[in-house]
Order: sequence, then structure tokens, then C-alpha cells
Amino acid sequence: MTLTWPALPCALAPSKTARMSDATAEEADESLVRATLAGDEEAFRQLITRHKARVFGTCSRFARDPQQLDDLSQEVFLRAWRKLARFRGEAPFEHWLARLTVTACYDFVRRERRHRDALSLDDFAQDLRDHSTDAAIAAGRARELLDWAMRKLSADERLILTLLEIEERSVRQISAVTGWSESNVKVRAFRARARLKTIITDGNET
Amino acid sequence: MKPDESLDRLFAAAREHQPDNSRLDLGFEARVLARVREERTGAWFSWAWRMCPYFAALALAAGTWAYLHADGLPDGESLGATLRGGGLPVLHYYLGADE
Repeated sequence: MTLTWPALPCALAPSKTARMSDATAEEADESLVRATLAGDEEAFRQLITRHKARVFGTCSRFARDPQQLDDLSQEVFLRAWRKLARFRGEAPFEHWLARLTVTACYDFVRRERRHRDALSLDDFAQDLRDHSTDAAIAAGRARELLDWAMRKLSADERLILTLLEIEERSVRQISAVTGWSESNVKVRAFRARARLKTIITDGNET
Repeated sequence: MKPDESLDRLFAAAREHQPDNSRLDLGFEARVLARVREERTGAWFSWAWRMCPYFAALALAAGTWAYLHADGLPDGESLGATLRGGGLPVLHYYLGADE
């Protein structure tokens, strides 16, 4: 399953009905933002309800357990609340929130990496010495193996592979949410993939 | 299997995995709003804490200035005598008026 992320400007032109419903949703979001800024707490509650599924979807790719996922998702909406006054309405609220979500996830991964030594992530390396990658995939532990390998990547590498390969977002969409140029996204993705490959191969060989 | 194929299979497996967020969903809005309220009410308190170093620096600067300019001040004994004789000269002294 792939989460449906907001259609960024790069997406194919949507049908007239889809455009209308998008416009209605955008208007609703904008009026909720205005109401929130005017001090209406209920409006912010509605904004959360409308967008939480997408936020959970992205955050769940980075958080290790439900508690972390809860904290990270809350952090996204808290950041949104703090920065709401800076929302100009030039782009849809969904895009703005998507950018905030990616930034929060990126910060989370960077924080996590600082504590990486304290975690027993290398338990999986022992497993890989005894069983090949194929065996791990066959045993239904593919996600676990990928998770282990991804945690060995830098925050940038992990973010880009998650967005590109797992969430299947386009290079253009990633460029829009990260602020990196499209060519930069491609180069980073290529390098990250190569690094992940090395980690998995070395894990098998050592 | 080639490493590239392995990677693709790993990514495919990760894509297929659909995390169950139903428990997280429950009362999520209430939890976020509670934190928003907490932050809103804590804003003044946190401002006060943030100003602490500035107040401390100000107090230190005032103390240093007073120490460096202490020569001209009357000592405790003469100050007591002056006060007993009437407070007005002391006030004049502090206001920098000619004696």
C-alpha cells in the first residue's frame, strides 16, 4: 500500500471533478487555518483530524515503536501550530504540512543516530552471518532487515530512500518537500542506494 | 541473487507493510491539543526563565559598577550620623547635587 500524498504541481493534470474537490479541500483547510489563528481550538482539532492519517503514514516509516510514532506525529502538529502564522496560503496546506512532516522526520532520524550506539542494532548482523538476505526475505523478515540496514545510513540517505523507494514519491515531489534540487535528489538517492547495498552485502559476508 | 534485486525485494516488502495506527488514532487530537494548551500557558513561564541570564547579567553589571565607584560613597558610620542629622543631605549626595 502506498499512501496518497498531496498532488504536487508536478503531478499530472487532475480531472475537473478532482480539481474542484481539491479546491474545496484547500478552501476548507485555509478557513480552518484562519479560525485557528483567531484562537479557535476546535478548528485546529479539525485540521488534525483531516491530515493525521498522512502524517502517521510518513512518520511510521521512521519511528521504531508506537510510542515514538505518537511522539513524532504530535511533534509534527505542534510545529504546525507554532508556525501556522507563517502559512501564507501560496501552496495548499497539505503541501506545507508535508514539508513540516519531512523536516520533523529528518530531525528525528538525526537525533536517533546520535543514540545509535546505545541501541543493540547489530544483533541483526549476527543473524545475517548465519542466514543470507534471501533467507531473511523468505522468512518474512525483509522489513526487519531493511530497517536494520537503513539505520546504518546517514539521516539524509535514510530520508531520501524512504521517500523515494518506500513511499514511492517522485524526484520532483521529494525536491519540493526537502528543498533539495532535483539533480541533488537523484545523486543523493544513487549514493544512498549504493551504500545500502554495501551494508547488506557486508552484513552477509562478515 | 544480485544485491540490486535483493534491495528491490526489500523495498517491496517494506511497501507492502501497512502499519496499524488504529491505537494511535484514538484520542490523538486530544493529546496534541493538551500539548498546545500546555505550551500556551507555559509561554510566560518559559519567557521568565529565558530572561533569567539577562537579569543575572544586569545584576552583575550593577554590582560591578557599584564596587568600582564605591570610593566616593560615605561609610556606614558617617552615613548613619548623616541620617540621624537629617536625611536631606544624603538624598542630595545620591542625586549628585553639590554639597
